[in-house]
Amino acid sequence: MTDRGVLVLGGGVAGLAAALSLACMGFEVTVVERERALGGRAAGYACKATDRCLHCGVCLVSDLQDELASATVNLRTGAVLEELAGQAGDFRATVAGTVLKVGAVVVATGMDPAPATGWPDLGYGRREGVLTASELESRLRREGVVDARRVAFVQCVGSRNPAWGRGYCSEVCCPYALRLGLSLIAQQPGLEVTVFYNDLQTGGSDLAGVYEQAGRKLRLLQGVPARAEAGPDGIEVRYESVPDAVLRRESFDLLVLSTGIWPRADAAALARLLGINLDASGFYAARPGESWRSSRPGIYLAGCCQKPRGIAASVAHGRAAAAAVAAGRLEVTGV
Amino acid sequence: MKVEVTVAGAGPSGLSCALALAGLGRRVALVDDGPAPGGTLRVCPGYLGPAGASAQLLATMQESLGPLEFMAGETLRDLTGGPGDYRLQLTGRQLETRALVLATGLDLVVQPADHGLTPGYNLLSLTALAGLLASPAQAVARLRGRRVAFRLDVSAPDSRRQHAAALHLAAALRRDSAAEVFWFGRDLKVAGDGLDELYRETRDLGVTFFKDTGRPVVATPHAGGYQLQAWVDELPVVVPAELMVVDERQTPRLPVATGPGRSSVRLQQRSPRPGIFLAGSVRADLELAGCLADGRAAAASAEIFLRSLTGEVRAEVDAANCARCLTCVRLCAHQAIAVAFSRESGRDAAQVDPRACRGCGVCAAACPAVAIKLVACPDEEIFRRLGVTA
Repeated sequence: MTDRGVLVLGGGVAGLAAALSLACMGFEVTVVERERALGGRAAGYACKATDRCLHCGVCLVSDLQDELASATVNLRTGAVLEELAGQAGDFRATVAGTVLKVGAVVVATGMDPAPATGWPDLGYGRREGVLTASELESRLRREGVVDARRVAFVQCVGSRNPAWGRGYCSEVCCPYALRLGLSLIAQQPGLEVTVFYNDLQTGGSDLAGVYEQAGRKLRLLQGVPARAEAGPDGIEVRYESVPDAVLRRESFDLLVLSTGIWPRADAAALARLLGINLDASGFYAARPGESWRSSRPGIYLAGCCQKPRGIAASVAHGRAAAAAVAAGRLEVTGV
Repeated sequence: MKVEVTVAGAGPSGLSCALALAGLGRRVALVDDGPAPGGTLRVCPGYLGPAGASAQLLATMQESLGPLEFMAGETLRDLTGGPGDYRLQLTGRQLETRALVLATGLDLVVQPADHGLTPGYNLLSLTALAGLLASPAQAVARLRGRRVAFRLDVSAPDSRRQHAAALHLAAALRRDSAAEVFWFGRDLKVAGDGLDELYRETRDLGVTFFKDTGRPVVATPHAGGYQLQAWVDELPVVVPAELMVVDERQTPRLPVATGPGRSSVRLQQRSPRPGIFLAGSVRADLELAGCLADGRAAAASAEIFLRSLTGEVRAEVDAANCARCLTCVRLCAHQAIAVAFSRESGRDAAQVDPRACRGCGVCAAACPAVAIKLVACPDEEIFRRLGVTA
């Protein structure tokens, strides 16, 4: 049954979407997930709805998990791919010591958040009250409220700078910060939320209404601070206010770093193991016009391992990879 | 004519979707109101990316179209029937189709009034500029050395697609016509495939960027052209321009007759109506790479829907044994069963609507009177699928 077998690396939203689509199309799918649980990073986020839906896409994770309950997909959690031999249509993949015969591989291994420690001037890890956006979200979930009055988000930490080898926009951090800021204010109306940004990435119809709400409820300041220090009244941030070109100082209780999407640290190692190429930023390289196809026949890409993507876009990309696998298989076998 | 899937709209999303479905062995009709496939790729090659790359992508896609049925100059007039059995009324013909993918894109309308201006020959929309740049070399020469101002975020604030188009066109103008190019907008939209890189490239080519921070940019007619006033460091900066390129109002081109609204499909390609799917910019604000992936994703969803119809597996009620207990009616997730008068047994009994039945077998498993069975799905077939022997 080699030609009907597909190996999906990664059980995040992109991998699950690909696996479920393939299973529904009659393929024998095996999902290999490094962690014990499925859902990946998206499963760690909470719904950001305020008094209305903000279209964050977190609910897609539970939808996928529900679908999984009624689908026939082999799950190998807590395991990784150790070796891949053979070629398109006839791969032999070694997972946790056993050999699987598959016709195609879908790589959906996701991303690493930019390491906040890489920006010591912003005080991460050295000063109380400096944390990343997803750390703020988990703190909120633990404690219910934040013990702060003035919260500032700093955008583009680890994105849009070729000097760091990250000459791309991570796409998800602006919407994430705006949604998180709005849901914070909805829960704690006394809170004052400031967002320091370069360019707000609020395009996309899934953001309809978010920008308009954010404009009313959040303080949006163009210009990103480079330094944050301990001041007499919390964390003192120095920034250049862009409209009037004046250097300002302002204190906040919490400084939230919107860390961008980086390729996984082990992307190069896995690329060698799979025999596929990386692009200039370190993501898996796709063929032009076919973002779901890797440089090697029979190996497909889905989600954030190819370029930064939000939840809904990752799910769509997973389905796109599934369609390509299914169509490709017919070409190989000549059905 | 009978097909399995109809893809309405032959732009990048529709082409990508139709190609995938044809690759899956489906009988596909690709319908477009234009004379040839390509949509924006064909009409405005420089709009979605560098003109050469767009032309090449279109050529590659057209090559793979092969035996696929392309229907030119057709629009959707009406839709009747139900999931798995839709009937489409087009301008010139009728189609019977099991599923429908709407990849109908956007309607773009230039509204000079949004910008406080009146229409003029030196006021162009982004699409008009793309068309001009695609025309013969004289047009490009006519733009040589001109001062051109792009004004965004007015008619369509925050359109990622139009921002991407403006960056591509500004780069092309600078490179091919050595025009002096100025860009005015709210924020740069660089979320998208290679767009941040393209922004830096455009900036390095000498395009000047102004953002409306705090005070909006004002454009007024001036000396046969325009004059734009922006604010930099609280000081007014006046930029004269001979040609102004403005954004356009965009509305999804959704044929009303098909039913699916837009709000509920922001996150997925499935529409609220089974068997109808949405792909590309009709559904979300996507740039080219996003449209291509969205078309494939819609193809996967449509393929899964078609598979749920194919196996001629349907529930069938033995009316004589039906106890009319309503168990099946309550359990059916597809609202396919109702109790009605059965002529063959001369009494009320459960009846299955074959159009709605998906052959899931829940009713057959739960029927206390053992009056329901799945046709065309013998036990041997079930055992084979499960990989067990009886």
